[in-house]
Amino acid sequence: MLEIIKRGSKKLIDIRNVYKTYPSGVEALKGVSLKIEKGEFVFLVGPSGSGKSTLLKLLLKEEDAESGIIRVGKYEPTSMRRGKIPYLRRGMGIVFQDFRLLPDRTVYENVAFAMHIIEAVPKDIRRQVPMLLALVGLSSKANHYPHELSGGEQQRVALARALSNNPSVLLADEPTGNLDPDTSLDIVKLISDINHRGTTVLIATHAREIVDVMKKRVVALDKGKIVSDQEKGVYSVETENIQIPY
Amino acid sequence: MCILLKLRTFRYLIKEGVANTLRNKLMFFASTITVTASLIILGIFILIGANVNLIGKNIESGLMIQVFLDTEIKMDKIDDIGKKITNFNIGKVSFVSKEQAFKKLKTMDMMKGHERLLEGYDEKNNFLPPSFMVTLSRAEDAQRAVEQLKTLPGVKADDVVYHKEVIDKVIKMMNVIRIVSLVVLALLAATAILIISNTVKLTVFARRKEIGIMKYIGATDFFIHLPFVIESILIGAVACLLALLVIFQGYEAVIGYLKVKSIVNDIGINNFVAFSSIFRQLLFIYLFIGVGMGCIGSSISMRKYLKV
Repeated sequence: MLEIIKRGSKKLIDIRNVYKTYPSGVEALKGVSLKIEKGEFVFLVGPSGSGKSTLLKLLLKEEDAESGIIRVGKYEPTSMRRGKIPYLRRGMGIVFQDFRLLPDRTVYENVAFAMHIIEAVPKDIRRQVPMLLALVGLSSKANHYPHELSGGEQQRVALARALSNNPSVLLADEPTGNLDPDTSLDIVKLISDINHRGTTVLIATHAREIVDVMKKRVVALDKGKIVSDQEKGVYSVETENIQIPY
Repeated sequence: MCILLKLRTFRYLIKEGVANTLRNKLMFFASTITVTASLIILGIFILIGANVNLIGKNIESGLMIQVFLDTEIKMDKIDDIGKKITNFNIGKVSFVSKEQAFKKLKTMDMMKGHERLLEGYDEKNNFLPPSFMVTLSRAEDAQRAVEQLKTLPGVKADDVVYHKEVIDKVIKMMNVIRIVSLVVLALLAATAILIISNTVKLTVFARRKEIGIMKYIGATDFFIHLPFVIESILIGAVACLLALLVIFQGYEAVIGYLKVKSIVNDIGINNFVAFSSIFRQLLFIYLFIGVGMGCIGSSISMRKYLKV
């Protein structure tokens, strides 16, 4: 109980009654409210089209909410100017299903690029990039190009890049979607390590096995609404809930 | 937006721009060649236009109006009229005295075999009136010049002699040439601008995904944009250089060939526009179209992909 009160004072992501309808008429989110505290590890689960990705897009301000309020740290994606978007995103580490590495740059350059964006001092870049690559276990591949790496390795590079600016939150959209089960587990364990170092983590996924193994907070979305939110939850429970008509 | 970047970031981005040309060698090569080709075509027509204009000017400057004076006119009055004509500011004015006129008549082809006609006359004593020759600087001025010359004291309307039909024809021809060459040049310049901005658009399109990725990891528009601008400047600059080189070599070769073959003398053209005299304009047009349009084109085509 004490734990919850303490965490409540360190709210990092605050989503209140958010609605989103795409121009095509698809109602992606229908009144979603979600609070995530600093240091939490949250799985966002649900079938395709449940609104997981839309929620992440709103946090990144890739899309704008129709109504409702979103806060991420000191930023408010719902009301900020477009010109401020880069600064919002710099506070987040973002990992995608398709890795999104710059194809014509080496592993080292990909990570360094993110640090150049925040205008880091070259000395810091030279010191920190090898450290990050060591953290994700890719020190030996610093001079390789993305296409020379396996999917798991590419996702590790993406993770190193996401962490390069010491983000307060790591957002991952289906980070294991393109990886085999063993590699997927490795990546999620790596993300868990990162979480233990203090970074808040929000992963949208439908990789049931991984969610079940990790025993973290699980928020289930279905048809644009949150249908369950459980500490140390498992995927299967939520899916069962979803399938029960009520 | 946030253009206030640190100096080291500027340096990094300029380096990035140069490095991008190496990372995308094929694209760089292809777009440079495309831009070079359109600049060369434009250059060829600029040179043709300049030479046609020169020919026209030469024809124009051959147009003359002759003002005959009274045979018995006094020297001081001649000076007076000469000054007045000069003040009309219509072209080069030269005086032909009785003596000079007689000399000229004697040497004319049409007098061959008719020398007897001039018997009893000499340079001091002849029936030829002194006159002023006005070499027009612009053919269009002919009508106005004639009107003005007729107002001179002691000059009757019949005394102002010129070839009206020839002058009118030349004026008409020159106008047609000017309009046609302007239209052709404008069309070519527009085509070159379109090709260049389209080429730049392609280089941006080829990397639209990268632009999106950069945006996702928090790069500002300016940060993404600057390397592309550097890249288009490089493409434009290299293309300008190549096009100038090709145009220069080609022009010299063509002129050399025409002169050797003496084709030029047969059709009455005896000089060409020197490349050095048109170099500056050409360079300016090339830089404006090649570099300027590249930058603008990349800015416009990037906007779409920056909106993520």
